[in-house]
Amino acid sequence: MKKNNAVLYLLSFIFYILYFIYPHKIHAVTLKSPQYRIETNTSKEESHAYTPQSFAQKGYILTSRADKNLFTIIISQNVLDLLTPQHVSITIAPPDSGVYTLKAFKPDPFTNFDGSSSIPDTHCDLKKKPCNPHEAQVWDSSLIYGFGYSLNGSRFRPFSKTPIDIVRSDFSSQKNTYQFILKTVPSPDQPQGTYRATIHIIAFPDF
Amino acid sequence: MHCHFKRPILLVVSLIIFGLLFYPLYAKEVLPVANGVNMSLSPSYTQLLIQPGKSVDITYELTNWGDPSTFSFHIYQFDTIDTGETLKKRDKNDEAIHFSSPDGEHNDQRFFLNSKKKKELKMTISVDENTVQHDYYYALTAHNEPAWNTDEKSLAARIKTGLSSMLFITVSRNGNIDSESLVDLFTLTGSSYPAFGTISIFDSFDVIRPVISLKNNGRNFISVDGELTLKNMFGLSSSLPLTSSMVLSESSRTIPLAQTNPRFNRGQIPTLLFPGKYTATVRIIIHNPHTKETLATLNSSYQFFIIPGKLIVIVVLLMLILFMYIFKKQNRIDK
Repeated sequence: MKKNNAVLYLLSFIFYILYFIYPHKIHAVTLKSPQYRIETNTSKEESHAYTPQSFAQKGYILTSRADKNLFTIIISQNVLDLLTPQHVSITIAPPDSGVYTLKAFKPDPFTNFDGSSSIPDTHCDLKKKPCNPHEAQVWDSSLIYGFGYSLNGSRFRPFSKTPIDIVRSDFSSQKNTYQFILKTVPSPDQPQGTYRATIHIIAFPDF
Repeated sequence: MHCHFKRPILLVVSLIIFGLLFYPLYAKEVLPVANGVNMSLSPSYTQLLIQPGKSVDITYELTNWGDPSTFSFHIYQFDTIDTGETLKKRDKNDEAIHFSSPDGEHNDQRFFLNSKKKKELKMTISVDENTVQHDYYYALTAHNEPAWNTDEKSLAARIKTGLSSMLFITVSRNGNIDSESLVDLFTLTGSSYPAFGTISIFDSFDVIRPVISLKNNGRNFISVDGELTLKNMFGLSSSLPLTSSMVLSESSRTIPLAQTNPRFNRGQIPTLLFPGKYTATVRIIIHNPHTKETLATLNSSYQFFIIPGKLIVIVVLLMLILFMYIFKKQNRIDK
């Protein structure tokens, strides 16, 4: 009886293992190339219409991606009163390539009208590990003065003076929405006046 | 009685008519977001192979889906650096490529666009006869130009929203592409186990992510596609396509796997894999992006082992529990 049980359990174990380790086929589909159209000064041609002679005659080959999905950007508000933190949602409808990059920058300081005083960029709570345009950190203290933003979270960072990538999307054919929080904590010593900042947010398609 | 019955009906009908009359006003007030931006730009990508001394026209279309607003176009220049690309304002000295449009619309000229209206930018690109034969990379960007509110706040910001279209120009007299590429990195990441020298071991349950990087040392950008083939020790193989991509001149680019199955994230090899030795071979085909002519094919291989380590641990634990249970039950029967 004991022997039969042991054989039965051993056989079950072997079948169990074989079931899991049996080769699984990986299915892959053919990659579809993006659709292109070639335009010339006078007519539109398909890509297969290219010949070396046509380049020699016309002197150029112009190819534009005919996107079925329009590359679109939607921003919920573009003029903000920063007396309180402001939430801005940015939605991107990607083009056919499905991948895009969002770049942001603030080329000029956050200054008053005559430029005599400016609100500094935040360096966040930790003095030993301050935030910077490439790395966000916690910024909860009301004693740390400055201007910064948060993207999809609670950590903040200052804007860069030159364009840097803040979002590099994964492949998606759907709209993606990002939540920005822009926050200003002015110093009590900040001279009174009207302060203004211009922030650039630009979406680039992948290539 | 008759009168009491009729009045509520009249009231309801009046309310419906009133509602229908004023719905368009109400809808117009609620649907658009105040100070919001909603715009599209087409085409999103353009490439041009052109001889020195020639010119060509391109048409872009900007659509304003949002509130009436002011827009402008601007041309940025792209610089390729090893890690990718950086954006910069056009170098004033780089005047070999000329852009022109009616009224200089491509060059920061502001224009007003009503809601759901389109703006066509007809731009001419001219290349000087003595232009150096290499690549020139640009991004034509449509900017929304928000106006400051009249009720000035003490702290205010405006977001200048932009949407770009890539424009890659190759200047070549004979149409030939200078391409010199190599696979500068091909590895698989995501192993649960440490590597033993050059031997990589993965678990059957690991999410394996290939990292394929191509370096283009040539003077012109190239288009690449290809496939990753997995072959096991029994000769069974399966292929996964790579995403068709452009690699700019004198730069490196990571080429991800294409999305083949929505159940799997892009860039990962679908598991579970049969235990044993595998060879992953990446085959990259380099094309002339303008003519689709194949310029070269590169191959690189990587060997690794798959072991069902986690499964074995689970099964052994289950077997131990089962044997202990049987052993205890058998002891009770014997007693």
